[in-house]
Amino acid sequence: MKRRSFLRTSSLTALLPWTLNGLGARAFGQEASSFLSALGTTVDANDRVLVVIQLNGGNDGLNTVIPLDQMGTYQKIRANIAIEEAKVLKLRYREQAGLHPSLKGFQDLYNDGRLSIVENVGYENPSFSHFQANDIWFKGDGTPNDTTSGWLGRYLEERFAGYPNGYPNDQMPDPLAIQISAVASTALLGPKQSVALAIQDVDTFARLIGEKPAAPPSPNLNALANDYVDFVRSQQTLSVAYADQLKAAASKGTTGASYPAGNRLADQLKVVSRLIKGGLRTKVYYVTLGGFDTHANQLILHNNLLTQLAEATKAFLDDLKANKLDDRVVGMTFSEFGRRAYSNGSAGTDHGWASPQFVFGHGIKTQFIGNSPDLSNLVKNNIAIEHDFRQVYASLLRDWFEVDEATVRAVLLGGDYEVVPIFRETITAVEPTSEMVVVYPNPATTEARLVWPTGEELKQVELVDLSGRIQPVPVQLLEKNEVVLDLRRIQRTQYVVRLQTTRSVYSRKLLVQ
Amino acid sequence: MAWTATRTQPLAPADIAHFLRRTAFGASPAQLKAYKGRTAAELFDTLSKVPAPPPPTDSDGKTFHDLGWGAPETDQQKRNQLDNQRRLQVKKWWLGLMLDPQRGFAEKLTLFWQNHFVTESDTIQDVRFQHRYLETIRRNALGNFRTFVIDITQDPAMLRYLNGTENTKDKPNENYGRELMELFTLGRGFYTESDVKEAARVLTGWKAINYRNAMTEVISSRFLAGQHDQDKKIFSENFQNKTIEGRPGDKGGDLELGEMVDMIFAHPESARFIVRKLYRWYFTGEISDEVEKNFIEPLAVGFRKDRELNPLIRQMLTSDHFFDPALRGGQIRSPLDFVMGSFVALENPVLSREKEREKYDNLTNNLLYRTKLMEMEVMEQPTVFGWRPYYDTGYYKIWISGTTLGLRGSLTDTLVSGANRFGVEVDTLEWVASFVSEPGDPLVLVREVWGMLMAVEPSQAQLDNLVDDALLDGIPRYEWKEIWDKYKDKGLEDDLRNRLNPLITYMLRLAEYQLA
Repeated sequence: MKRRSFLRTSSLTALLPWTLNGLGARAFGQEASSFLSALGTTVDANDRVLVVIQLNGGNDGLNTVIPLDQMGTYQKIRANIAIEEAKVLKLRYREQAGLHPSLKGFQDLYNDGRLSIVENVGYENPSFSHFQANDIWFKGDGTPNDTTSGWLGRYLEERFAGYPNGYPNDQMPDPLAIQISAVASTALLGPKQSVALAIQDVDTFARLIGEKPAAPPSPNLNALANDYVDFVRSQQTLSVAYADQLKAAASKGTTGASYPAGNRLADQLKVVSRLIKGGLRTKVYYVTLGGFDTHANQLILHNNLLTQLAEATKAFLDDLKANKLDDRVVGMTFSEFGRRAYSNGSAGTDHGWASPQFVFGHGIKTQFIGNSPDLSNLVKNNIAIEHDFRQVYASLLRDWFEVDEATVRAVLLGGDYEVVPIFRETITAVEPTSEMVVVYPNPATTEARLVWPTGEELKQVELVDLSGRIQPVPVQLLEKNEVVLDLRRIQRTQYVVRLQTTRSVYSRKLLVQ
Repeated sequence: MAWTATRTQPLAPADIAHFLRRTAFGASPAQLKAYKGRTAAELFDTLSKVPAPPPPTDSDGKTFHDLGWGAPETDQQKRNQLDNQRRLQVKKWWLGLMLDPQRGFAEKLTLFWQNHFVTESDTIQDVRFQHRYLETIRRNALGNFRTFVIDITQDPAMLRYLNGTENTKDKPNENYGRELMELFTLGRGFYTESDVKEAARVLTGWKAINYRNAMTEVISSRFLAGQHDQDKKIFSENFQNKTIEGRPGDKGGDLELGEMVDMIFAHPESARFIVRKLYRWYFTGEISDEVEKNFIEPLAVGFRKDRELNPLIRQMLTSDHFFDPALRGGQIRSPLDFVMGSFVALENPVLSREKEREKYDNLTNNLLYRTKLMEMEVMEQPTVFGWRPYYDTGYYKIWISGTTLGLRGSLTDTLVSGANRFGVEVDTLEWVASFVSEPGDPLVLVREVWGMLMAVEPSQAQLDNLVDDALLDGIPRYEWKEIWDKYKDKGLEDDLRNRLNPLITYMLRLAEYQLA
């Protein structure tokens, strides 16, 4: 199919014809104009942080992101736990779906462009065992029994070769990952050992940790004991080595005042934000919220859990934003499975299959990926999958951490998972208000001017070619609502100009001759 | 070597210590003396026979499992608070029992089963249910496994925890049916989703009675035939397509449950499943093909015949394989092993709940808090599958992190320094003098203290380091004898303690001490 006709078809159906990496110009080399950088597009990939929120127990996705396009069926199959349509929280530009009433914080983030929803995530041949399903997600392996490492562990061991030997060092003085807990998740197990430092209390950690071992252990230990002694000693050595870094970071980073009280997740995210603010270069933070196994009387339980989730996440991002660190951070939620589309007789839900995943923070480009669950095509009363969870992992690795394709494949155990456009623009020709932006002259030769509605501040402007690559061009601000693009050094071809303002996103075609 | 053959000769001190570290929480000098020359079978028979403990009580010494819910409070909110407090009392009561070296074996076994048939106190929310559940476990811990499974299936706390009480003919709830097969009897991969649904139907009709009822002290479970699915249930080829006929009447629930348990037990995997789980608890986290063939399988064959737990566990814990040197140090101690084992090894006097109630409450409260921080709070497993190292092979290491090492070290530091936070005092001098053969020789002293505390051998460099840096701190070795010999002089006792305390504190922070 010729690209042109493909585009035309798509413009009619509003499908996703092509995507492009939208993290910003700097990701694509040194040529980015100083203007773009000054707009604060995106920090260097080395400084980016991922926060993982595990929702333990199997979150009921269908009551989390509610299918406003199928309310009749929805009400029918779960009458005893259905959320009233009038109470469902609305999403900007997305009529087909809304959020559970207690996810007010998520609604704000969504409508502010800081939250993306990936619908119907799961994997083929689902396990309905908490244990097995968790392991599948942790390890990124559909048959996890033969894999001993977690996906984040593999990524970090790949990224920081040789760990733990020679760590900490100048390039990486801090723990690779931190879990706010006493024990670290399987997701953070590297091929040899956990890459995470599990910390409960940053203030007492250094004081408790003691000294590193002095004399070598017996050379005659049996194999098991030798392995365990070796492991404990390496934990002692690393902890001692990291303790000072942590102490310094914890004392520099202050706790934002605006976290909700009595919120188990907020308590953990508060520590994470403090460490980020304190300057740690740790790549991954891991926190958990449990209690999602709602087999009975779920309305109150679920309401309480989602309130904690949304309020904590919103407070965390706002805290980072107030400290101008929000461009370093994205977060991801996951739960081992969704729940049955049909509710059970105990006003609860049994173990199910697909459920939505949330990605939040900086660089979000596509906010709703996929469709509402198709309630008229359930699989044994379960919601069918639309996205494999490893597509989300691949997106975070490819686009957020900028890991090359081969490494992503290795981290995901050889599987090829198509990236979902969380961090990539979805170009459709149906964006609502592009007429409000003028590009002239068009076609253009040496320069083109771009004018947008007054009162909106420019956040970002990009020139994108038809294969989805961003072309760095010098940009100069002329007026409060006008820029000029210098086109002299780029190829003569068709482009799309993408303009993001404080109010909206616009795109216009531009032919350079 | 016949792996399952009974070790008949009298046990060496190191073997006795090994037995106590694994089958209870730890070994003390006094126990090693008392059990000198015993065989493994004698130890098993002595330690496994302890009377049932007296019930938990409030701080005023009165029992509460035999009252209405939250009684005598009348206000709903106050009842709730009181029940919360009492559920904490049950946890503290249990920790108190674990601290008693005489009960170590029984409590470790009780803990095994509580972690097998998990319920969580915070979910149960009725202390009477919780207490009854623990009684069900204690009663069956060395009994018949078939009876055990049936009792626990009908236990009111379990009916609440896994929603059995909500599982009715018209509104089946799959929760218990799934966990019964996956976690309690068979393991993943040996049943289908349709088996889960059929099992749930077999289990319809059971009810927990008088949950959070303040008006009565009687709690129980009951079968309601009217809520039971009386159609036939058909299972998959995992169970030879077994059909369980629907049984009408009040006996229907019992009959169908019994038939289903027998059906599950007919699966060869069911016996192996339990033997393996005991192996991960008492032996080590890795199960090689060799262990599977030479140990698990022969024991499973025996267990399959009658499902009697006493002979099974006895054979495992008195076997040649149990004493195999290749398994020494083959466990990373769980937080409870570590905490209780440290108290036992250093011979803290056991506080009397009756006579020293305030101290006892403070101590158990402190231990509850600490074990919770180390992620092993009793009766609050993170999920229904229990603590991971015992559910799955190869996960002992998750007990150890920078944080848990810090918490473990802080506990033993406090214990030795006698900072009085525990309300009990360790006298390191008396302790060392009670078992070290030649305490005037610093190397002998260090080596024998090592032997008392550790499951594995030290290197010479470690011993030297302990003698010269931790104990003597610069003074020449030959001067130690003089210091020790003078220790009866009052003035020098504290000097001695000032040297022994750092040594022991340091040893308790070594990697080797994390092993059992």
